[in-house]
Amino acid sequence: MTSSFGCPHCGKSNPIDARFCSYCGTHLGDVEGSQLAQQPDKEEPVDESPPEKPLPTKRRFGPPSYWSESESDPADENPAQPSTSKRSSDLRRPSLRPNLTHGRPSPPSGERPPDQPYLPRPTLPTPDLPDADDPTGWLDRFSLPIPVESSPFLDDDLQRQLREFFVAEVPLADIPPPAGQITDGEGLWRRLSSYLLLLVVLVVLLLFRENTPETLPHVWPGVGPAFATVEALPDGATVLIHWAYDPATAGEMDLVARPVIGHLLDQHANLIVVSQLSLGPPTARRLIAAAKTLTLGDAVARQTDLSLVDGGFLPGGAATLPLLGQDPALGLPLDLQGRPALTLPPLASYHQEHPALVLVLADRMEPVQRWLEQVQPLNQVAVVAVTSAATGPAVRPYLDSGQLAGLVSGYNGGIGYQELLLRPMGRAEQARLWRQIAGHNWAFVVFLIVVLAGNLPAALRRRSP
Amino acid sequence: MTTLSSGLPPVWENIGFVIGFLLSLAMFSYIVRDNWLVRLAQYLLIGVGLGYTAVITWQSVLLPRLVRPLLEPSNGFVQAMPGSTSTPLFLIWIPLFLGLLLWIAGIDYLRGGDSEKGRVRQWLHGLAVLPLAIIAGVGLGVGIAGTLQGTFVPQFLRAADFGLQLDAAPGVLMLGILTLLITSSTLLYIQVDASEIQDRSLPLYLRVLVRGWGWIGQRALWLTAGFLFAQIFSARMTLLIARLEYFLFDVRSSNVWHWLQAMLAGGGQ
Repeated sequence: MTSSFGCPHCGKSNPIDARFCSYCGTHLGDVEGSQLAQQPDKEEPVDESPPEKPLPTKRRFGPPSYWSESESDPADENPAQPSTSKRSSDLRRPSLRPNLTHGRPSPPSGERPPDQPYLPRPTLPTPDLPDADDPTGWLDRFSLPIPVESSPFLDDDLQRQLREFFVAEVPLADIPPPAGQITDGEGLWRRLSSYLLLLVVLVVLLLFRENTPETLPHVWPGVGPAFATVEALPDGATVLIHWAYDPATAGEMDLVARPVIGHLLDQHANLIVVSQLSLGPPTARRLIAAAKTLTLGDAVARQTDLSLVDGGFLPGGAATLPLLGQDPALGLPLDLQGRPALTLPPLASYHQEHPALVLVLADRMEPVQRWLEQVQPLNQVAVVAVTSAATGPAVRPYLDSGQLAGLVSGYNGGIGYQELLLRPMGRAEQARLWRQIAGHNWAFVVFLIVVLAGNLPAALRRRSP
Repeated sequence: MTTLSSGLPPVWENIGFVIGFLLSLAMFSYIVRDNWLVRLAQYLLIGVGLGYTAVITWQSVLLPRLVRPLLEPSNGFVQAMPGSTSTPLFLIWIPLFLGLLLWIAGIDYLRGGDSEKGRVRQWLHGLAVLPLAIIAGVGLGVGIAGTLQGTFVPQFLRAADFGLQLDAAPGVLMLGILTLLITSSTLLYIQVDASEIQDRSLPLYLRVLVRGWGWIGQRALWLTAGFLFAQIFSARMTLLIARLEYFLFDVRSSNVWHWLQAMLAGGGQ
């Protein structure tokens, strides 16, 4: 039983239960993957050619696994036999349809595109090919009508291998597994595992509203040095924030970044925000506004707007980052409101001297790495990285080498930083953090159960003869 | 104030909340099965993101740095950049020319223009290689230089400085030995093919040693992959929990929920 099949439009592999192609978006509703996997190919009427014409043998495509179990190997077939219905239906399997036009219009039936690779063949009667609009007509165009006994060029195996070579993507998991062996996705019951995980997290979130977890999550090294670096900032220091995450990952990154931003506001730092993501600046404004209100209260927060400069969107990737290290005015000539940078006090001071600290907020490794490679060697300003949990391990070598002054990674890093602040939290904020901890703990329990449940049967089966 | 607050007028906030809520539900319908709602939400996300990027690129990059200086060359924009020795030729005209060239060639290519037909097309497609070469060359140069100065050299110096200190404390010494063992075994496992280990021309003791050493490296890779996967799982679980909290709790603190409650309470009287 296959767990994937090819898209009839682009030929890419998709999961067996996919309704839309993951690559080109084609609706796959007419091609039921589950039907391909479970039901045998239906008998189709065969168009018998007249007996006086030598009937060409249509070649099968793909490895033997595409053929039904009752079919025989093509090499054993009598090539003089007419086409069977199963062979026609094999050709209609979507995974066997190569997309060699790549968006170009299909040529009329019977013609071969001039740039299509094809095998030289002797002059033979042209078979009746289906209509070019027929999605399966493509395959028939490649069914070289070469009688086996008269093929002077290539044998069956080599022809089959060549056709497979030109297919856009070879489908995965094609060969049916030996009896008794766990196939991809079946043993682990992926869908049930996902439902179980979701159900457990929902129950935990609803039940743990008032209860407090007994232990805090483990905090990896780097949080303490990050706290100490921010704590050592003088009053009114300029801090440049490289905002490298957008709303897609704000659910996690906000948890990690908010305590750090709140700490900077406590230190009365002047914040300059620059982002190389178009959605970075609005994400930054939202979080800083929320952190301001939590830290300072509504009234004071409105008065401190001048301490935030939205440097805006800086395109160009790694090539433009060095501008911020050499001469920030070159990289930030105007803020997002169109005001010249040098008229704004925080940026004016930034022009005269480098910032006291750089904070890189990133959900991936690349923005942190780029900053450490392109900017820090130029201005030697201390950098504190605030990253997603997935990014932490990749960035940690920079902490060990001293290039990073601190690293706050993952929701546990945010909680650890919050604990160091010694600031009383509101009831709602505290409940939010405790729900995160409880949800994580139980999610990992379910994850471990699923991993054990999946590996134990596999280990036992491996030992059995 | 919650994370839902955006500084917009309340009516726009409420409209945005309703749209976000519906799109979140549409994405969650993927749990049941892949359907057109999921695709709609994905295409909206991509389309709106691209549209916003286009607007912000025009508003904050092209308009102030290219168009305004072209229209008003006397506004002192170029001269206002302190320390800049470049003339308007390099800051405006050459980038404009290269950008337009690339743009026109790209549109022609997307429309199916064949460089085999027409001398103008040949010249256009040939000249369009120049801005591409500049982009690729600058990116490559910056990348290589940055990798050397920011990653390779500092990391190498740190590894060399760490070393294997035989007179260090037991914990530090053990850490050094383990680092050396795991690093070398992983490199050996990656470099040496299994068939090479089975080569009978090698002495038996050497084959056993290499096989055992590679075995350690293989397990180290498994452990590392498992650790990385656990971190990724943690990150995704944080996102899932945050989104579920949005549905279960943040919704109830929104203005729309309060209106609904008021409507239902008022309707029941």
